[in-house]
Amino acid sequence: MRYRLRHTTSYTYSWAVDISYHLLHLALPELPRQRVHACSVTTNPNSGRLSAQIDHFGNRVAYLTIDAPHKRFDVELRAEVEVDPFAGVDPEATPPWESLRDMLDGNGFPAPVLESEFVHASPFAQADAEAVAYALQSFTPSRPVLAAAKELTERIFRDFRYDPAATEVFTPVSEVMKQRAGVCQDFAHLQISMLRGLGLAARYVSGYIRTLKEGETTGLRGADASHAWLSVWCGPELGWVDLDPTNNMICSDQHVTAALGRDYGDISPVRGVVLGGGPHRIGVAVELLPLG
Amino acid sequence: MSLPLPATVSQKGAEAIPVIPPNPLDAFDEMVTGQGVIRPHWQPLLATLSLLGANGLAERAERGRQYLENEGVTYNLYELPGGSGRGAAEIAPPLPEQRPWRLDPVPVLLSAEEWEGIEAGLIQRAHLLDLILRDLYGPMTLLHEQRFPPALIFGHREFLRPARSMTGKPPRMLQHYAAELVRGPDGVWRVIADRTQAPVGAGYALQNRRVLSRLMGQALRQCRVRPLNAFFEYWQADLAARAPTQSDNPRVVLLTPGPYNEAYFEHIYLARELGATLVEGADLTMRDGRIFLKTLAGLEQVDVLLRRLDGEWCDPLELRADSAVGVVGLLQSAREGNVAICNAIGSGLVGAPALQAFLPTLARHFLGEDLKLPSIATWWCGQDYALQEAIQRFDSVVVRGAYDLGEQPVVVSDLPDTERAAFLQRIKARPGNYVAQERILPSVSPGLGEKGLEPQSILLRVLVVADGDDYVVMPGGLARVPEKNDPFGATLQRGGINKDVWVVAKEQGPTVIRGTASRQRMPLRRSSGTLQSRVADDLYWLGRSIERLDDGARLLRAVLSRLVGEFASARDMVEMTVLARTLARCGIVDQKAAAAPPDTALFSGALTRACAPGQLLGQTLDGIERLAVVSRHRFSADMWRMFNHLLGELRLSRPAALGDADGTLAFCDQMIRATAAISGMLSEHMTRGSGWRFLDFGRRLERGVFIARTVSAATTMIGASTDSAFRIALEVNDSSLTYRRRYRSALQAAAVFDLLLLDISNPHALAFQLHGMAQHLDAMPNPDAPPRSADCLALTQPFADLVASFDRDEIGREEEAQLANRLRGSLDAACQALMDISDQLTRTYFSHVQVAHSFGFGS
Repeated sequence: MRYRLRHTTSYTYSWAVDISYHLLHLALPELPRQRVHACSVTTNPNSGRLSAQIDHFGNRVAYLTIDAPHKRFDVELRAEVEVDPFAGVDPEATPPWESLRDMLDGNGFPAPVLESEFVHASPFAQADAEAVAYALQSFTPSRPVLAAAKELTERIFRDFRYDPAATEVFTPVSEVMKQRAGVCQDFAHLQISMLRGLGLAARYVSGYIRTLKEGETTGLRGADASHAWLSVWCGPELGWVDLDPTNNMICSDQHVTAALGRDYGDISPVRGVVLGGGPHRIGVAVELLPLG
Repeated sequence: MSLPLPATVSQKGAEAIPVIPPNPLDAFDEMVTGQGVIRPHWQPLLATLSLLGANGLAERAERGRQYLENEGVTYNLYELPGGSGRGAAEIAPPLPEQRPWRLDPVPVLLSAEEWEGIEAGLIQRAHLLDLILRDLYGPMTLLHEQRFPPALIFGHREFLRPARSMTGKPPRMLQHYAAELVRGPDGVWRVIADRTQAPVGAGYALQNRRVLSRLMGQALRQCRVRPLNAFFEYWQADLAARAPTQSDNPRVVLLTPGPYNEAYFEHIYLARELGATLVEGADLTMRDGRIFLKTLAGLEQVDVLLRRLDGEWCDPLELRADSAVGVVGLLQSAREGNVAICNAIGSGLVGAPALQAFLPTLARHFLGEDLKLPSIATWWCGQDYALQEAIQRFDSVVVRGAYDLGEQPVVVSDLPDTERAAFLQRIKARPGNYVAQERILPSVSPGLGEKGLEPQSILLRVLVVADGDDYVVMPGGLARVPEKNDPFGATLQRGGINKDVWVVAKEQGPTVIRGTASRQRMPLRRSSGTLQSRVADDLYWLGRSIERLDDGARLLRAVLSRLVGEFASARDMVEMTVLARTLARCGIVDQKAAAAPPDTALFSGALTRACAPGQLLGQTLDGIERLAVVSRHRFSADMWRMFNHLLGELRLSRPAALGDADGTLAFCDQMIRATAAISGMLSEHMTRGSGWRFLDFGRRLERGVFIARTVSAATTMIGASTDSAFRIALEVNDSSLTYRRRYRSALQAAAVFDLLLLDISNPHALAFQLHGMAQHLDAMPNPDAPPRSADCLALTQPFADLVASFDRDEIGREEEAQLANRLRGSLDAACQALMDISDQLTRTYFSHVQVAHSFGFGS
């Protein structure tokens, strides 16, 4: 599926900001199932100093400093991107989850070195005993990893209420467990924490989900802003498989990936520090429209 | 003395020679051999100790304690998370308890041969740790080649991913480092910890040496002890050499988390020793990829940053967003090679205790050598065989966190049986989070105990610094007597006794000390030129706060002295009402209480609570304490001691004074005396540079406002109780005596107003303040920017005319009231003008001292 993507973020400050520093995780990466045909990030004011880098996770990062007073900051991502469907995998035919757990432990020296990074708890996805107990109901002995993970995704979708008022960015996993409510970030962090608690590798994915087409009445959740889901490692052959607990699905060609990390903290799309400015308002708009 | 002295000799004659009881344990004895013979390198010291006797030694110890106290050598007992945030500047957090530095007058001696081994071992180790760091923060071949467990990197919070170089191996990351050593009963020194973040100790070691050279100077020479100064010269030269662009005089700054950090004393001390500017995060700014120091004269580029702030707090843009002590963009600037950070951000990674288990193989891999100095036996439980080893010897090991050196180690044998099994279960649940280390009985060295000399266990902290591509070791260090429950002397924070370490020079060959001849002759300077804006801001507010406290105390005293009398006359009642109104206007008591009749509980209650912590005067007092601490590095040791003493006394007597009129009155006197002492000290001892100007400007401005307010309040009584009006105005402005001397007791409007508003010889006159402010403004770095001196001087203008109008023989009642109104109007306008001047000063000089806000990472 080929898409046209537009993602705008605007910050409106109460009074002038003297200087602002931004860290942008916006530019789309090339991935096995994702090809980027065009991608541009523009800002207003555009007078700043911009430098681009690849980060530890392989994401494309941009640093922007605006050293002139401004009351508003807009950043826009426009891209054309193509995503292949995820198909031909039978979750019941994936390796038993314990074999992956043991492989990732490797008695201190796991063969999948880079994947083993995502076994460890991280600031936004802390270990939680209750969450692990919840996950174990799906991860019965010798169960194929993707079958169990898919069922876990489904249970989170069923048992947890989608409620933007229930949480903030800093709401810890333990709190989400108690409230049984949250938004896409919370569900992603929750399932990541559960999988890692079992000794599996799970990473956080930020990106976009297909916007409602004309004539459709029920769309996908998370389409009006940047979306988040997770990836679970299913062994050397299959690699990473993306799961979206907010929409109860294995991600296929309706999701476009923007960045990968341990959790939200590693890949927040627009991070910044401003001097001055006072209280500010944020406006976000996302459009991911299929082409043709 | 050619023959070794038998140890038993030293135990004879308790009066002359300090008694050294035999070592009761199997520990290695630093001073006595197994055959009971004093080791030769200890003999000159022992001779001195014998001469001193027990009393002499105790007397030296006391002298040492006094030196340290006078120098203000302290160690803060706890640290607020992330140090002091400027955002919270208005509400002063409580000051940490400062623990005096305890120094034993008896040093630890190490022979030249022995030292060579330690030296070579630590140089090798520094190279090795640096190579490991540069691999892990670069290509990570150690992980890909299965030489190092990835869990120890990916699970470590000090693996700071944004600090990783994605373009190859980064340049040197470990510029300085400290190793903790212990000597076991077998006589072998072993490393128990590698401190690679921002190790504390070099400054304290130098301080110890300076004290001991006064206490034990003769022994120091007789033992031919290697001096420490050269180490700091190496350090300074190496910092300068790391400047990204070659310059004759690179700017080196020492970044401290601030006065709330545990080792702030050392930060001040090191900055002085290394010729670095002591800065906090708020003093620096990133512009155009480079780091600048915000000074009164503008922005000055920083070349090298000596980091005393833990890595994760260094840059709120890429690392912890909640850090108020870092510098936005610091990582980016370092990545572009525009600033050298020593140690590089992320260096704490290789301090992980679990690393010890892998150092021997890594040494062979990187250097093709075995470790010259072994580590303490360490098992990382993340591997099955190591976990089994740990379980087998569970009762004889110490267990600690695999990652964090700061975590409290657990001596398993100290655990009750009931807890032991549960602890083992916790380890088995998450084995990768733990290491087991053998428990070593540390060596003993004589130290001054309660009953004379006694053998005490010691740990050694030794410092290493880069010298170009190589490393040099400080010939000496810090020895510590660990507390009983702290087998590894986990941190300096737990206190304990410190000892100087004397390394004996080699018999042959002169000691080579690096000369400073290569440095250029420095041009003479009359000012340091580059006062940080933040420091100027703090000093300005220190000046204002001291004056505010003085004025407030004076005003409060004027009311209370009328209130506590046996009988308040009608005149007293009227005066108290006016004074109370002034107090309310100054914000010292609230409006409602001030409006109540003076004989009510509401009125007296408000007065006696005026110095309580939440009230303006209480806040001012707390503010002075905070500002004094943050400005400490601007004051000499003597001044600081005085400050500490005066503020400490106020702190002690405040609680008892609260709620009691007489007590508060006495406390007012005490505050007035303290501010007078502080003022005298500042005016006598502070160099007349920018710092002093900002402080004094603050004082003048605050006093100007006070004069304008109090005289304005007094004018409301003109007509009804004219004499009271004048009396109060003179009294609270400390001018009654001068007035009486000049005019006897007759109170006349023109004379009073001339003395309080126009007389530039009266330090409590408005004109005096304005003239002083004008002089300061002319000497400030930017005299053409507002506020300008002419604006200050112009403020006296209306008062000259008004005083002339009062100064006539015949003034009608109505005309007098009219003049009083005009005068009040002018005074209120002057008050407002002074506030505007303060705003202008802030905009011109402190405007870049702003609070940063993070977003996109949380709220």
